[in-house]
Amino acid sequence: MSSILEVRGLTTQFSGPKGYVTVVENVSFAMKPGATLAIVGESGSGKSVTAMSLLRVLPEPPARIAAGKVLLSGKDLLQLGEQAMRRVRGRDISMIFQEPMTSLNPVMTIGGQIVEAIREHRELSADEARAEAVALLDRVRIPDAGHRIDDYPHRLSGGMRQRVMIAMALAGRPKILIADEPTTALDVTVQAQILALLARLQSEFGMGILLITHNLGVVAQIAQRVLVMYAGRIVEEAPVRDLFQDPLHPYTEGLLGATPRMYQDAEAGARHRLIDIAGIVPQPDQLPPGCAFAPRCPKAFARCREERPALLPTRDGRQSACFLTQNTAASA
Amino acid sequence: MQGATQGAGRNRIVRFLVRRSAQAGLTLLAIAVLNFVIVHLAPGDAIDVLAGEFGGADAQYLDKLRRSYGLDQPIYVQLFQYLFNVVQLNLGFSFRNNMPVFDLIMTRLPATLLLMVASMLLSFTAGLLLGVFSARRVNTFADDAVSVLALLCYATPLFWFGLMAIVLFTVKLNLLPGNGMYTIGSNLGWFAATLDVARHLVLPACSLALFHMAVYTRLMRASMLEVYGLDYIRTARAKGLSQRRIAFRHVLPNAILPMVTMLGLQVGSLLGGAVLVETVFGWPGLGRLAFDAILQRDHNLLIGILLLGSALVVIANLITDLLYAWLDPRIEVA
Ligand SMILES: Nc1ncnc2c1ncn2[C@@H]1O[C@H](COP(=O)(O)OP(=O)(O)OP(=O)(O)O)[C@@H](O)[C@H]1O
Ligand SMILES: [Mg+2]
Repeated sequence: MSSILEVRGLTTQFSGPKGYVTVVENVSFAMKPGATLAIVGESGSGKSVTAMSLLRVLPEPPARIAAGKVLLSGKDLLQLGEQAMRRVRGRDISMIFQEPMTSLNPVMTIGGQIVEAIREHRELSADEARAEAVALLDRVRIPDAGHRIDDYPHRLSGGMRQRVMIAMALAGRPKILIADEPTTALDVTVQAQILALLARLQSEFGMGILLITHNLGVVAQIAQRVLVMYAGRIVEEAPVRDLFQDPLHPYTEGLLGATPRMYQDAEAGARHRLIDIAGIVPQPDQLPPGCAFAPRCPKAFARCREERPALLPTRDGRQSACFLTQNTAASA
Repeated sequence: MQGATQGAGRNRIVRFLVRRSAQAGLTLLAIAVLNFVIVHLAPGDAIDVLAGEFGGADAQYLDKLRRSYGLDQPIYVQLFQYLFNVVQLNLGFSFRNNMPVFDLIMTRLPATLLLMVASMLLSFTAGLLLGVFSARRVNTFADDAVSVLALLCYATPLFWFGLMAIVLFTVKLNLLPGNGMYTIGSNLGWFAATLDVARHLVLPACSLALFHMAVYTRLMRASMLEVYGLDYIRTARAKGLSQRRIAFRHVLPNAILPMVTMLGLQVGSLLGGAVLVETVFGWPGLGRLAFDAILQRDHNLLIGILLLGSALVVIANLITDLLYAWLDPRIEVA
């Protein structure tokens, strides 16, 4: 199946006091139309920076996309001018963010913010756009949308605000929705509702979803493929079921070990945080010379500390960046 | 935008207004008491001042005078008498000008209000525009140029700028009048008279506005840059909005809020600046009156002007609070 979005060798840096620091390095993946791809990893592993690089909404400076291609139906977004890029944002690719509490403009009504998104991408009159905004709020299950539309964001709960964000993201009828930890800041019950909403909207609109999360339960629930990120790089890529049953990279094992019986729990909508692996994610400017995970890895050996393992195909169309799995793959 | 919220909004504003007006009234009362206390802390009373000016008088006569002014009463009685008078807008009598203080102030107030409002509008608008301009071109030559300009305006002494403006625009170029509020001895129709006052207003208002414009420019630039870094601006960019729309519809309406707060805070210093500007430009306002009152030791007048100045600041703050509540929907009735 052809992919709708293909990312090749994406490398994003931030300028710091001692020059540029690479925060996302050589990230490549592809998304199929209408499917859900998840990116998981601990806090600080570069998930948000990757997502924002795709839409080019990072502040430049200090950020800069140093290398790579982001191909949307074959067209490289990184080569587009600002005008052309504006037509991609919200129309081809929409994004919802990690912090629903601060992601809406506090002095503009939610209706105003949605109408604005609609009229940016579709030729509608003010009245038509307003009617469409009410319809969108209905679609994301906001009760009494006709009245709610004139509320200011501070009147809404976090869950309601994230629904508004989703409605706004749908305004331009995008082919791809990037959801950056859409439920992290929310209560467990609200999380489940938002996820169910996303899953339903995906089938209604046929969008591809790039779901960023550190909750493996969420991944099990709605994704088909998973990218595992660590310290700015992809360390494993696999279909969801394979990843859960047979993780290849020790980091993935650690993530799964940190959330026991995740797969079963996921159906119950339980909330799990991946923070139980000993040690912490290294800062981007303090990466060890070899594998970035080696200092925390129970299986690390001499070579891991000297040489950085590349992300290579193993078996069944999976990829892993670990010498161990690459060796087993070779011998198998 | 729509009926329901607007009705709720108006209600909100009304309740806000009532509460804040009560607070303002209390503030003014406290200021009046403070005024009274300060005057009575100074050694001697008004009669001693009079006596000193007449070159001495006999003690019996002074006591008689004290009794007739109620100065022999206990201090709290005097305080209540004073407050009672203030509430009735009776601010005493200016012997120097041979006029009740309140009437005297009222003849001068319009000129000062005109000067202050004009400079305020000018400095706020110019500062806003320059700040937005600067923030949209951050770290470019244009941005630096605006910063230098603002710094110059900030550092230039008001009276110096006023004098230089008179030298250039009045003396050398003969473009604008540099003294007074209207052309003396002219008999003009209302339109021509308005124009005449406007022409006289240009130099003093600009001189007074300059410093405040610099303050607003720097504040607006900083405020814009701060808002540019917030999450909801990233949301706006992710929607595909143009830079212009982001700047004017999303950043500006949020960045302007600290400006409004500043507007209220600046009224006091604007009044202080007015004293200077009115003196330099011969503008017949309260500032000049206060200046003369100090030189002539006209205590009643001075205290009256102080009280009125405080009232102006309190009222201006009330207005800016209202403006703020109107601009920021998060200010609920709390
Ligand atoms: N504006 C910035 N300036 C400098 N460094 C940044 C900036 N934004 C992010 N980074 C760095 O990039 C790295 C990755 O951050 P990112 O936000 O992508 O992590 P994440 O995987 O999304 O984590 P989380 O789960 O906490 O959201 C972090 O080390 C962070 O310090
Ligand atoms: Mg993140």
